[in-house]
Amino acid sequence: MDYRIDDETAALRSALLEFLRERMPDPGTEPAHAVRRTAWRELVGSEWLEHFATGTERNADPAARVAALHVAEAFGAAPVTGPVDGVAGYLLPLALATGWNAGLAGLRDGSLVTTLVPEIDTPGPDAVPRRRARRLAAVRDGHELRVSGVMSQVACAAGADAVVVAVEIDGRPGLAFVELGRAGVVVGEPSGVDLRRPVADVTLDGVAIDAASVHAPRDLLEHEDACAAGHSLFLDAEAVGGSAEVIARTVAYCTDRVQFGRPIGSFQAVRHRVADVTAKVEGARSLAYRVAWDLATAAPGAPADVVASRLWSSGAYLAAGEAAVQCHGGAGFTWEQGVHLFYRAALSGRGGAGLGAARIALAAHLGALADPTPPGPDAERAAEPVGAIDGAR
Amino acid sequence: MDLALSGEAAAYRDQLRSWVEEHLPAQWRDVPVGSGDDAEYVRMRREWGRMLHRGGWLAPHWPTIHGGRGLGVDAQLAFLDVLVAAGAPEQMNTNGMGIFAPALMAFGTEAQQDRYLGPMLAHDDIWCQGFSEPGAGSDLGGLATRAVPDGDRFVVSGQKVWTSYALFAQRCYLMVRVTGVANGVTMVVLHMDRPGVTVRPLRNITGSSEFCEVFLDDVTVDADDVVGGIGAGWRVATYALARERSTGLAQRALQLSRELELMNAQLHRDGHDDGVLVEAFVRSRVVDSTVRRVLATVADGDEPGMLAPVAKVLWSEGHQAQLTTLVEAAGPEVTGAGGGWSDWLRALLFSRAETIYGGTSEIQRNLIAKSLGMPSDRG
Ligand SMILES: Cc1cc2nc3c(=O)[nH]c(=O)nc-3n(C[C@H](O)[C@H](O)[C@H](O)COP(=O)(O)OP(=O)(O)OC[C@H]3O[C@@H](n4cnc5c(N)ncnc54)[C@H](O)[C@@H]3O)c2cc1C
Repeated sequence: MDYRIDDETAALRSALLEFLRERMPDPGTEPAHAVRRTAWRELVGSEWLEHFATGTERNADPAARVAALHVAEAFGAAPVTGPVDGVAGYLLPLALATGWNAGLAGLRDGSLVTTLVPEIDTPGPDAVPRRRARRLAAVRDGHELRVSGVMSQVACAAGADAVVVAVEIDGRPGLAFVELGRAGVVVGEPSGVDLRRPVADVTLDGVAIDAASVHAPRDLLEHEDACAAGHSLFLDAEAVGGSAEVIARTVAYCTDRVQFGRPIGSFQAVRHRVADVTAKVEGARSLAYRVAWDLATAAPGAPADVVASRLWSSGAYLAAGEAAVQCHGGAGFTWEQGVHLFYRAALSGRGGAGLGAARIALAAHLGALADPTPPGPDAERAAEPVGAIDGAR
Repeated sequence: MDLALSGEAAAYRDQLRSWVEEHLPAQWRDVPVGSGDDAEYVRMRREWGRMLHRGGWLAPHWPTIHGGRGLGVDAQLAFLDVLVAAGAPEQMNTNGMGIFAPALMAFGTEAQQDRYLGPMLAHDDIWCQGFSEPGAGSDLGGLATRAVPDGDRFVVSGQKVWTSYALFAQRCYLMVRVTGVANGVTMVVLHMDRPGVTVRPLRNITGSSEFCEVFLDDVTVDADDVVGGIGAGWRVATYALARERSTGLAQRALQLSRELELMNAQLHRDGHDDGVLVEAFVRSRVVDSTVRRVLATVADGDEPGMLAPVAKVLWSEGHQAQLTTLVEAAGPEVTGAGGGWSDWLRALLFSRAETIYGGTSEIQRNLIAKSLGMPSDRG
C-alpha cells in the first residue's frame, strides 16, 4: 500500500487551507448569523465540500481515498462554522452513492442542510461493526406522509434550512429532505461545547412531506453504513488536522515565550509533552490513511479498524488540545488566544465517538477473531446487515 | 501486516513458507525471549540460523556476492512475515545482519566484506555490538574506550556494558576513540578470542544473562579491521542504526500483532471478557499502520525523519502496555505464572528493555521535539 501523499494532493490541501483561512469566519469570534450564512453559501459554491466524496465513490482508487482524507485534514486545521462533517463527510457521499438527485440539489443550492449521522449499532452474529440510523416513523396520510419524532443534538440545526431525516415507511427505510420552516417542526436552542457546531434538538410533530419525495433505494442501509464509516474517517482527518494545527501553534508559542531566561520550549517537560502528543497524532494519521485504503479495497478487518481509528484519533486530538492549553499557560486559558477552539472541538469529537458502543463493537470483533467458528443456526442471517428493517429486502 | 510484494518476493515468500513448515522443529516455535537456559537458547537460534542459511533463505535482499539473493527490501519483509507467523525464533545474528552488515557493505573494504559477511550469514561467527559503556549510554559521546595506534595495529583498553550475547560471540563491532587524533571516534572489528578480552555476564530483569560486561585490557585490533576509516565512527554508526529502524521495527511490530492474536485467543479460551484487549487492539493497529508508513517511506528512498522516533515510541510503549494489560486482565493467573502464562510474564518483564535499548523513549522524544523545531534543551 502507498501512504505517500503526492505533490498534487499536498497542493490541494494547501489551497483548501488558504481558502478556509481567508474566506471563512473564525468560529471563535462567534460570527453573526448572517455572516455564517454568507460564508456557508460561499463554501458550498466553492465545491470544496465535494472533494471528500470523490475519494469515497465505489471503485475509487484506494490512493484517491487516502488523498481525499489528507485534503480533509484542512477542515480540522482551519475550523469552520457549519455542518461540514455531516455534509462533506456523510450526506454528499450518500446522495452520490445512492443517486439521490433531489437531495444533491438541496445540498448544492447554498442551503444549510444538516442531519444526524448513523451511530455504531449493537454487534450482530458476524461481529462486523455496522452503523445504523435511528429512523423516525412516517405514516401515510393520503398522498402525504406524516413524520413525527425527535432528533436529538443535531449539529448546526438552529439556523439551518433543512434536515435530512432517516424515516421508515411501511417498514422500509428512506431519507426525507425536510425544510425546517414546515409546520410541525420545532428547533430547540443551540448549545454545546463545540463552537463550530452547536447542537439543537429537532422535534417533528406530524410534519407533512410528499410521499414521492422520499428517497428509498433498495440498498439504502448498506450505503448509510458505508458512508457513516467514511464520515468516521472524515472526523479522524479533522482530528489529525486540528491536532497538527494546535501542535504547530504550541511549538511557535513555546519558542517565543521566554521564562527563566530561556524559551519555555527548551524545557524538557514541555518538549516531551509536545513530542508525546505528536507521536499519538502521527499514529492517528497512519491508521486513518491505512483504513481509508483498506475500505477502498474492502479488506476484511476494515470495519473494525474504522472504529479503532475513531477511538485513537479522538483521544489523540483531545491529548493534543489539552497539551496546547497547558503549554500556553494562562494565555491558553483565554478566549482570545484561540487554542480553546480546538480543545472544544476535540472534546466534542471525543464525546461524539460513542466510546461505549465502540468498545462493545471491538470486543465483539476480538471475540470473533479468537473464535472464528461460524455462527450456528443464525449463520444465514450473518450476511444481512444487522438491524435491517423487516421487509426491507 | 499485509505487504504489497513484487512477484519475485511473493514467490520467495511462498517457497520459504513451505520450507519453514517442513523444517522448523515444533519445540522451537513460540519460544519466548529469555526463557530457559541461555546457552540452550543461543544454541537453538544459532542452529536455526545455520539451517536458514543452508536453505539459502537468509538476507534475500543482500547482493548475491555477499550470499543474498539480490531481491528488494520487500523480500526481507516477506522473510520476517513468514518467520513471525510461524512463531520461529530469530536467527542468532539478527543484530549483526541488521545493523552492522549494511554499514560494512556501505563503508567497509572489499576484503572486510569477504572476510566477515559470509561467516556471519553462515552463523560460524556470532556477532555482538560494543557501543555502550558505563559512562556512555544515551550519550554515546562519552565514549572512553581507547585505541592506541601501534604500527599496523591498535591496542584497545576500556569497558563495554549491556553487550548482548557477548559471552557467545566471536566478533564484536566496537566503537572506540583512537588517541592522538582529533575526533577519533572509530568503528572497528574486535575478535573476541584475543587475549585481554574478559566477558562477564549480567543477570537481567527476567533472570537470564544474555547481556554482559566486556572488559578490554590491551587487546589487539588489526589496522585493517577499521571500518570506514579512523574518525568515521559516528557516520558509520549512524548509518548502521538507521537501517535498523525500518526492518528491525517491522519485525517487532509484526510480533506485537501476532502476540495480540495469541493473547486474545488465550484470554477468550479462559473465559475472560473480550473487552479487556480493546485498548491494546486499537494500539496494535496504530503501531502496525505507523510502521507500514515508515516502511513505505523508506521503500520510496526517502528518510523517515520524525516518523522513525514516533514509530519507536508507539511500538515500544504500546508493546509494554499490551503485555501489562494481561496482568490487569488475568491477574494472579499471570503474576503467579501458572498455566500457560509464564512465557507471557517473561515477555512482559523483557519488554521493559524496549523503551531503553535502541535509544530510550526520552531520547526519542528529544528527537521528535527537535524535528518539530522546538528550541534546544541544552539552553
Ligand atoms: C536488553 C538490552 C540490550 C542491550 N544491548 C546492547 C548491545 O548489545 N550493545 C550495546 O552497545 N548496548 C546495548 N544496550 C544498551 C542501550 O543502548 C543503553 O542501555 C541505552 O542507550 C541507554 O543507556 P543507559 O542504559 O546508560 O541509560 P542512561 O543513558 O543513563 O539513561 C538513564 C535514564 O536517563 C534518561 N536520559 C538520559 N539522557 C537523557 C536526556 N538527554 N534527556 C532525557 N532523559 C535522558 C534515559 O532516558 C533513561 O531513562 C542494551 C540495553 C538493553 C536494555
